[in-house]
Amino acid sequence: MLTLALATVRTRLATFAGTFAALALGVSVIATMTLVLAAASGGNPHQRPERFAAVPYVIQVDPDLQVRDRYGSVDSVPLLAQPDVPASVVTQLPGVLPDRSFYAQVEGVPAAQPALGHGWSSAAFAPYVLTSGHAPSADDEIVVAGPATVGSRVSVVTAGGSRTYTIAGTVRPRTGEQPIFFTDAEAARLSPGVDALVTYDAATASRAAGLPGAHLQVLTGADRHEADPGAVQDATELTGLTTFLGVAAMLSAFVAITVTATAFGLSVAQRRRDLALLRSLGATPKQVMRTICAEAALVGAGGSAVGCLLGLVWAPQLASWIVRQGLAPSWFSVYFSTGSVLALAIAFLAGVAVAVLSVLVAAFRAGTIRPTDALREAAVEPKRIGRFRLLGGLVAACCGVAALAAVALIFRSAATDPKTAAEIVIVLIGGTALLSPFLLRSLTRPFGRGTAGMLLRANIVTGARRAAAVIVPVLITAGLAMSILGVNDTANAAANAGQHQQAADADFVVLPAGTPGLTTALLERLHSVSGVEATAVTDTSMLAYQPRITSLNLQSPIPLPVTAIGLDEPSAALNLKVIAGSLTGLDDQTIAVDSSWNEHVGDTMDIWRPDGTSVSLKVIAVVAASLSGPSLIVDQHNAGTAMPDRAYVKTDSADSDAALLAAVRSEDARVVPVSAWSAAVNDQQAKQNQVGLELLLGIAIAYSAIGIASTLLMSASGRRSELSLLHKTGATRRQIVWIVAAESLVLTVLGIVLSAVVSCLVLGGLYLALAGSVSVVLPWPLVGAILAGCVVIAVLASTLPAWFQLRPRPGVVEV
Amino acid sequence: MAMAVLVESMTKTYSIGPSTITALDHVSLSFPVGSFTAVMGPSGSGKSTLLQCAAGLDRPNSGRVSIGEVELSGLGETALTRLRRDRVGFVFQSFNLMPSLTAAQNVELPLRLAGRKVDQQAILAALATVGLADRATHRPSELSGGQQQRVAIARALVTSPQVLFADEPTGALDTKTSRDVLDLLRAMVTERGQTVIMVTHDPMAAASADRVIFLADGRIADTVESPTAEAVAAHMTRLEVSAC
Repeated sequence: MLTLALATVRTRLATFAGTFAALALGVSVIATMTLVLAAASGGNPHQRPERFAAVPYVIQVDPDLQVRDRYGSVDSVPLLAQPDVPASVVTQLPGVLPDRSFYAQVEGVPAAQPALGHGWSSAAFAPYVLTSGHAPSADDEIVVAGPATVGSRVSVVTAGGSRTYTIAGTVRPRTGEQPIFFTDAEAARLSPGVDALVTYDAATASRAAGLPGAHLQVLTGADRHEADPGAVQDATELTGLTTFLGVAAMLSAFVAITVTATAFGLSVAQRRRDLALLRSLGATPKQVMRTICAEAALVGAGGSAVGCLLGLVWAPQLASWIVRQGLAPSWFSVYFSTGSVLALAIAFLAGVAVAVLSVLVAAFRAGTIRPTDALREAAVEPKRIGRFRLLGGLVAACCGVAALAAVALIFRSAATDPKTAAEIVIVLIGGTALLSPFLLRSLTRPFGRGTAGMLLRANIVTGARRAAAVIVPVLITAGLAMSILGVNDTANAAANAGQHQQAADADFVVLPAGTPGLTTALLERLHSVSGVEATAVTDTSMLAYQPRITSLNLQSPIPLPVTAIGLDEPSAALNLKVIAGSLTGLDDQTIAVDSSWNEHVGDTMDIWRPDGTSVSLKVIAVVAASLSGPSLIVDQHNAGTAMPDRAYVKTDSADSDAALLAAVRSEDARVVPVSAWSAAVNDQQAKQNQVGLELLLGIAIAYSAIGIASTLLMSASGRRSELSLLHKTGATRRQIVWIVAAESLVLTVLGIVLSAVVSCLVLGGLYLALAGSVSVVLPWPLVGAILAGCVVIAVLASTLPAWFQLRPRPGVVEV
Repeated sequence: MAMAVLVESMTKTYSIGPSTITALDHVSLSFPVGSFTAVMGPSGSGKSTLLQCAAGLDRPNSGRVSIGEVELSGLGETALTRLRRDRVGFVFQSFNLMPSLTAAQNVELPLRLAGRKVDQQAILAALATVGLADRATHRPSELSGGQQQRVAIARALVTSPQVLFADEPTGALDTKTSRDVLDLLRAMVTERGQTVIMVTHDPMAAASADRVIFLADGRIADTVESPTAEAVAAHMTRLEVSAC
C-alpha cells in the first residue's frame, strides 16, 4: 500500500501540490503562533537580579492570594500589586534590613526607566557604587544616578507632591531603574510601607519562610529578579500577550484546519475513478482506506516539515513586531528551549493529524465505492453527501446560535470580550461551512434564469461538494472580517462611550504631565479652589467573587479581577447613574457597586484590595451597569497605592476657571476641556486595539485568501477533461473562460451572502447585549476592500488555469 | 461437467428518478469449466450488467450466482472482494490500468493486494505472453490503447483465476491487434483450460468462442454453438430487426 501511495503522490504532483501548499502554510502559521506563545509563557531566560544582586536572600510577601474555595481546596489567585511586608513581621525577624521602593522623579528630567526612590541602605543591595560626593546625611539630601552636579538643589516629585533636595552625591547607573536615594528616615516618611526584607543570614531566611500566617517567600539565586521593578509589569504584559496570542492562535488554527481539510476532501473526491478501479482489482475497503490515509500521512508529513521550517523563520519576526508595537517587554524574543521544541512538535503533529483526519471520512466513503463505478462516468456525486456532515453542521449551527443568545441576553459583559466573540464566530462559521452543500439548491435559485443561468445552476448543484469547497474559504475570509472587525469597532465605541459618560457633567479634565499620576499636593490645591467641584479618579482592579448567572446568583469558584475606580471625593463633576442610595459617604468602609452584582444598599461585600488585603465594605449605592464602566466604586484608600489618573472638574464661573488654571500650573499637571479629552481618549483606544487586530485578522485573512486560490486551482485541474470537451463541442476559448468566471463569481457571491448572514447574527447579538447604548459600527471601507479582494482572487484563480489549459496543443489526443 | 460459473434466475433493476429499468429479468445460465463463451446483444440488452453481476462486481436484486462451488449472495463486501481477488480476472473496455504505476507494477497489483509473494520472473513471463516484456517499466500514458489492453489481460491472468471476464476487450482496437488479443484468449482456453466469458459487439470476436449467447431486453434470446462470423452476424441482424 505504501508503494502505491508513494507512486500516486509522485505522479500526481499537481493534485497534491494544492493540498501540500495549504497544509504547509497552515502548519507554518500554527508553528509561528505556538513558538511565540511558548516564549511568552517561558518568561525571561536571561533574567538576572538587578537590584538585589549583592544580597543572598530577599524576603517578600507571596504575590499570589491563597484562597480556600467552596470545595475545600486551596487556589492561588495572582494579586494585582505587590503587597507590603506587615510591620509585625519585621519585628519578629531580627537582623533583616528593610527595602522601600516608591515613585520619585527629579522634576524636569524624563525617565527612560522606572523612576524610583529608596532608602540609602538599599544602595548596598545592588550594589550601587558612589562615584562622587557622599551618602545623604540629612533628610533633605539625596544621591542620584548618572551625571549630576553635587551640591545643586533640585525639585523631586513623589506621590505626595514635590519638595526640594540637595544632591549630596552620585552613583554609577545600573539598568532597570532610575533611582534616587534618600536617607532611610526620609524614605520611611515618604513611603511607610516596606516592600521587601533583605538578609545575609540563612537561618533568618528559613525562619521567615516558616513564619505562620505571614505568607512570605524567600527569593534566592535567579529568582531574586522577581523583586526587580520591571518584573511585575513584564509579567502582567506577558500574561496579556499570552491571552491575546491564544485567541490569534485559535483563529489561525481554525482557518488552517478548515482550508486544509477542504483541500484534502476535494482531492479524494477527484480520484473516484482510480479508487473504484482499485476496488475492482481486489482491494478491500480497508485497503483502500489505508492507501488514502498513507498518502495523506505522506503529504502531511512533508507539508508539516516545510511548515515547521517556515515557522522557525517567521516566529522571530513576529516577536520583534510584537515588541515594536509595545505589546511585550523589550527583551522579548523567541529563543530555543524545551518549550519551543514542544511547540514545533505540536505544530508538526497537528499538521499530520489534520491531513489524515480530513481524508478519513472521504477515505471511508471511497472504501465503500462499488467497483462498477469504475465504468460509469462519476459526473454526478452520490446523493447522500455525508449524513455526518449534515449532522455536524446542524449541531455546530445550533450551538453557535445558543451561545450567541446566551451572551446577548444573559452574559452581557462577555459580548465585547475578543475571546468569546472569536469562539462564537468560529462555531457559527464552521457550522455554516458544513451545511453549505445542502443550501446550494435554494441559494442558487435567483441565478437560475435563462439558459446560461440554468447551466450554471445545474453545474453547481450537481457538483455540490466541489462548489462547497470553493465557498468555504470565501465564507471564512468574509465572515471573519465582517464579524470580528464589527465586534471590535463596536466594542471600542462602547468603551469610549463609557469614558465619555463619566465626564459628561464635567467642564475640564486635569491630567498629569510628566508624572505617572496626580500628586496629593495637586489634589489638595484643586479642592481648595472656590467655585470648583472636583473628583480624582484612579483606574484600578479589585478581586471579588463575581456573580455568574444573574438570576441564580451563583458565584465564581475563585475571586477574579474586576475593574474598579477609586475616588478621593465624589462630587457633581463625576457622572454616574445612581439607581439606589447615594455616593456621599463613600469612605474606606463603604463601596458602591453596579447593578450586575445583585447587591442592595446596606449589604456587606467581602473583597480584596489589589495588594491582597481583605476588606469588608458596606454597600451605600447602586449604579447602572454599563459594558465599559467600572463595576465597583471605592474610596481611594481602598484602590491601592497607584496615583489617580485624572480628575474631573466642574466650574461655576469664568473666575473659577482662572483659579483652577493657576492652581494646576503650579503643580506638574495640565488642564484640558472635556471635549478635547474625549477626542484624545478615542484615538488612544483605537490605536491600542488596532495593533492587536491587525495581527489577529491579518494572518487569518491572508491564509484564507491563499485557501481560495489553491482550492480553485485544484478544482480547475479536475475539470480539465470537462472543459476540453466543451471546447471540442464548439465553445470558443473565450466563451469557456466566461462560463468559468461566471461560476466562480456566483460561488464567491454565495460565500459572501452566507458570511453576511453569520455576521448579521453575531452583530445583532452584540447589539442586544449592548442594550442600545451604542449602535453597531462596521468599518465599511476595510470590509469592502476585503470582499472585493475575495472576488478578484476567486475569478483570477479559476479563469487563468482554464485559459492556459485550453491552449491549442498540437498532436495530443485527449482521452 | 463442472460449472465454473452458475447463474440462477438473476434479476437486476436500476431506478433512475421515478422510473425503474429492468436490466436483467430472471436470467439463468451455466458456464462450464474450460469453455469460451461470448455474450452478445443490442445496447441496453443487459450484457454488461450480466457480466458484472456474475463476476461479483455488482449485486443482483434477486437470484443466485455461484463461482465454482461458492455462492456470492451470502458474502459481505470484504469477503466478496477476497473471493474476486483469488478466483476472478476482469478486463474492462477502457481505463484498465492505474495511471501512476508502470506496466509491471500494474500486473503485480492484484497479487500485492492479496498479500501474496510476487515473483518478478513470473511477472515478466506474463508480460512476455502478451508480447510486452520490453515495456515493463513504461506507464500507461506511454502505451498505445492496444498495448494497455494487453497489459490488462496479463494482469487479469497473473493470479491464475478460475474465470476470466472480459467486457468488450477489443472494442477500441484495430483489426490486427484485435486478432492478436482474441488469439491470445483462445490459446488460454485451449492450452491451459482457462474459462473465459466475453461480452462483445463484434461477430469476428464472437467467432473465436465455443458458444455465443444472445441477450435482448434482459432475457436470453438465443444460443449458438460453434459459431461462425456469418451465422453470428445473421442472428444479430434478426434480433435487432425484431426489436424495432
